[in-house]
Amino acid sequence: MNTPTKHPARPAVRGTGSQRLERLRNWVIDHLPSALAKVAIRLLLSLTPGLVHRAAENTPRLRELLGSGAFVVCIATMQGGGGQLHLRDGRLRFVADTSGEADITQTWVTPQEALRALTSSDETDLQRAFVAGHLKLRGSFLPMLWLNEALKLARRRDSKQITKFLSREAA
Amino acid sequence: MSSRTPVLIVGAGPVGLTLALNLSRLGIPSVVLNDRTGTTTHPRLDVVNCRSMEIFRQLGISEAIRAAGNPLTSNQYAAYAASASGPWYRVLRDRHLFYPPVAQARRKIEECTDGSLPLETMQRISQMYLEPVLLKAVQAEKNIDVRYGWKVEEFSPRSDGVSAKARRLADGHVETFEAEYLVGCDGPSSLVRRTLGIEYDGTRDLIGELYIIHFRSNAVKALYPDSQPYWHTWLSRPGFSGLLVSPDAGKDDWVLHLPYPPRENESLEGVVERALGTRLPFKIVQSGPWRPQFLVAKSFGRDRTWIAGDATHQYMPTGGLGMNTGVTEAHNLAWKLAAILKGWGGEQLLNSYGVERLAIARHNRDHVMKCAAAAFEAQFPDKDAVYEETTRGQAQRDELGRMLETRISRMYEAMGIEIGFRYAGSPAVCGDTAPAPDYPEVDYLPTTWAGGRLPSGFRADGTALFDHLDAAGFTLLSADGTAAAARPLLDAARAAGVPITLLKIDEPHLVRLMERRWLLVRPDQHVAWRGDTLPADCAAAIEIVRGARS
Repeated sequence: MNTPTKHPARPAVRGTGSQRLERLRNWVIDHLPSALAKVAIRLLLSLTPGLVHRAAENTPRLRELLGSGAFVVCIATMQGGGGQLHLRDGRLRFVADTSGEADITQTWVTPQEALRALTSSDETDLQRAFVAGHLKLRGSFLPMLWLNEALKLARRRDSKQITKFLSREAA
Repeated sequence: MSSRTPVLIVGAGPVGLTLALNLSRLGIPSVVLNDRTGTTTHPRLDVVNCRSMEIFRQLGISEAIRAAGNPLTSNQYAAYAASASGPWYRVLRDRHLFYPPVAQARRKIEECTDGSLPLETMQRISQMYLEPVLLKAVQAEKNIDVRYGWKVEEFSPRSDGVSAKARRLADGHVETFEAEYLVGCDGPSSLVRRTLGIEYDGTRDLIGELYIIHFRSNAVKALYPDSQPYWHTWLSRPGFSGLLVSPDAGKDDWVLHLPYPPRENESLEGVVERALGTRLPFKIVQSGPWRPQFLVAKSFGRDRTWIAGDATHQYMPTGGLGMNTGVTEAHNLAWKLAAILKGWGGEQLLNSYGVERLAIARHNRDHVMKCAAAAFEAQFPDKDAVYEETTRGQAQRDELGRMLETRISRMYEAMGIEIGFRYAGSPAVCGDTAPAPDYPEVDYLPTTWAGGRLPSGFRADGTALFDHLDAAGFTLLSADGTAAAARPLLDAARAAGVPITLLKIDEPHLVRLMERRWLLVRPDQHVAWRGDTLPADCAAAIEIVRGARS
């Protein structure tokens, strides 16, 4: 009835090296035992406040974000693990306990899927995982937008530092 | 070769065309240049909101826009379903002015006596049908020279004007335009904004890459009662999520928005069929990824060069505030440019454009972001049993329906955002002595608090109060008395060369709506000053509202 059309190819936004790295990341996550994946999630979450506050020293928008509002984001898996990120009085901090009341709760079916989304630079991975049923969400989505922006700015700052460091080394 | 014009407008999208038309109605000629070869062929926006329709009414083109869009007797409903074939979770039909057909909404508006409704309801229409209406109106104006296929390559602002170099794309012919003012309505990657060195405030790509499919079908409408497609059908079920838009029930265009691009092995037809929930004939017209943004320019221009529309802001379309914010910007800017070019606008008047509109652009961005979050939240409830005829299935469908009413609805019903905005702190408004009344985003609370839009009402003879306001000058509304009583303010305005008209209000419901005995209303229908007695120093008040007080 309707002739299938292949959708236009997406422009290659990543170089071959990045694609190889992405495949490697997926392979590692797929083969990671759940216990290790849970540890990795907790480690990533516990490092987040430091990353954000460090970057905020030189990023006015991050300072503005830190000063705006208060929330609790809970990231958990059905197999346990995870943690909470609390923003209050301009400070973001990690809390290992996931039982406290949260403004938004992400509950992942497996720790591997959670790890895949948390380490991805593609913002749509969270949506894909949600629609595919790998993730349940409850609460207000606004803190997720906050976290997305803060992490994007913090990572950008970090990658700039790394680039600067590498170019200095190369010189 | 060189051409001279009072205003050079870069960009002939809806905002550029609205600005040119508004300027022309105020007697100001302009040249409009666009690098596209014609109006857009993409549906793009799908709504002209109530405030834009009020503005288009002032410009005399609201009926032409309605005639080109969704039929007046067709609905503007929003629904939530597993697919366009059902099951349906809920449909928003009558709980707000904006959902029923325009013909029905008009009756409600005519019956309203407390100023709580806009003069015009929204119009469901896509940009590809809106732009030709605007272009036809622009081409009918002798004051406007609109040229497609011309690319502005560079410009140099001077203290007394702007010089811009443009190339005709068909043959490479270059022409220099000497303008007194230049306005960039040239979209998200605005050359004018970038040349002025104005950056966006905000972080790009917070949501990631979305995907849009425009298709045509005369069969899909049969999925809806009486073959009257709803305006928006939100879709959510296990494994699928999207928004199906019928920009106009009278046409066969459909737009499917997806939260991410299809996978390499997915056909677009397969994706559309999943949205429809059945196999029906359709033809895909165009498709592609795009990235929604929440960005506002850090400044709206300076001196002789200004920006408007997508050049000042980029929003995710949740809330329909992209072009509509731009239309109100053009409306704000047009009378100020005209006032300066005619000699009665003061030095601060153009600066007031930036002060007034930047705050609104930021406010609208916050609202759009909340709407985007609400659209995500509406998908959170469990959906695994939505196809089941069981208690659990019904409970899930009910919960999703509730999400349409409590979450998604905010992007449709935000009358506070659309007509409740105010220009607080503007250098061209006499600050109100009363504390600022509440300014909720969804509910509109009519007020004449200085800086706000005058609430709409009807006179005893059935004519709209807005239709009695002077679009080229100030209108002094008087609930008090005689022309003699108004004389000090009228004389002060005339002494400064400011056009002003006295409008006596007798109708008790309009007097109540005024809240004060005197209101001074600007050409853009916003209150510039109000009081129970005329200002002690009328000349000083006029100096403020014409932007002559620094």
